Amino acid sequence: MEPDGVLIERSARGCPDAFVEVARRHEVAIHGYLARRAGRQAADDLLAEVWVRAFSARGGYDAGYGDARPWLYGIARNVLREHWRTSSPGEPAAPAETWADPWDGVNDRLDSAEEARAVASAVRALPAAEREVLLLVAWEQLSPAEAALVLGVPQGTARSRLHRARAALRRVLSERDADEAGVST
Amino acid sequence: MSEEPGEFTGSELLRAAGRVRKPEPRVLAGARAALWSAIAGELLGTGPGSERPAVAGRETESGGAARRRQAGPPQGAREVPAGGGDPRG
Repeated sequence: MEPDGVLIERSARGCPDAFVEVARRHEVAIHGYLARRAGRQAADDLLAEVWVRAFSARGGYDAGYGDARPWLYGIARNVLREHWRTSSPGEPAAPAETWADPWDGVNDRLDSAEEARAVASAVRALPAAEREVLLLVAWEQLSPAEAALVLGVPQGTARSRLHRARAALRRVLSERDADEAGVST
Repeated sequence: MSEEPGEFTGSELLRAAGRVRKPEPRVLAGARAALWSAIAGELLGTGPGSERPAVAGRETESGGAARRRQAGPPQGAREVPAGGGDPRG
């Protein structure tokens, strides 16, 4: 299978339809990213925008990056931000907290409402920057280095944010487990 | 540093919280149709990407705002630093 970078480069050099294969490879993942953060309906609407923007921007893609996922997630992230801005035009600007808070549907996605509350509250308590790295790794299955590309930060920054996020989450969930054990004994 | 998702407490709960259903095929097809439309526009010289393509990894003056914002993996989100905060961490 040809790397994404080869296909994107080819699409920028006279064979634009080569880009469609890149979209096919990643469409479910990108839709999932959008759906987890903005809901399924919005994801349905926004996916096309991601492809059109990515296609338009492909001329600047560095073909040295074989896997296009970080680049596509970065574009999807910007599409989401604009979605939040335009869907709540009268709201005070708090994009970091608003757009990066993907928890509305979590109760529906976990079997236990109690588990959902515990996870949601633990992750919500994280600083937005740490939460974003954590969710890119946990939900999108990116490596810390790939998450750094999505966010446009140095790898070391992404790694340290991830480390702090995991430590905080571990602490909160451990305390919860300890409380439950204390109640049950 | 061991940072695999499965290695920390709560990772399974976290992954479960991120589970979503796959999109309907018609949704994926519709998005691809929009992409095909952009491709057709370029081939016909009417689309936003119809200008001469840039060499991969480089920018052009005529690339447009979207291209300048989103060219190459490191720049995918450079427009907006992590969480809207300081990109230097």
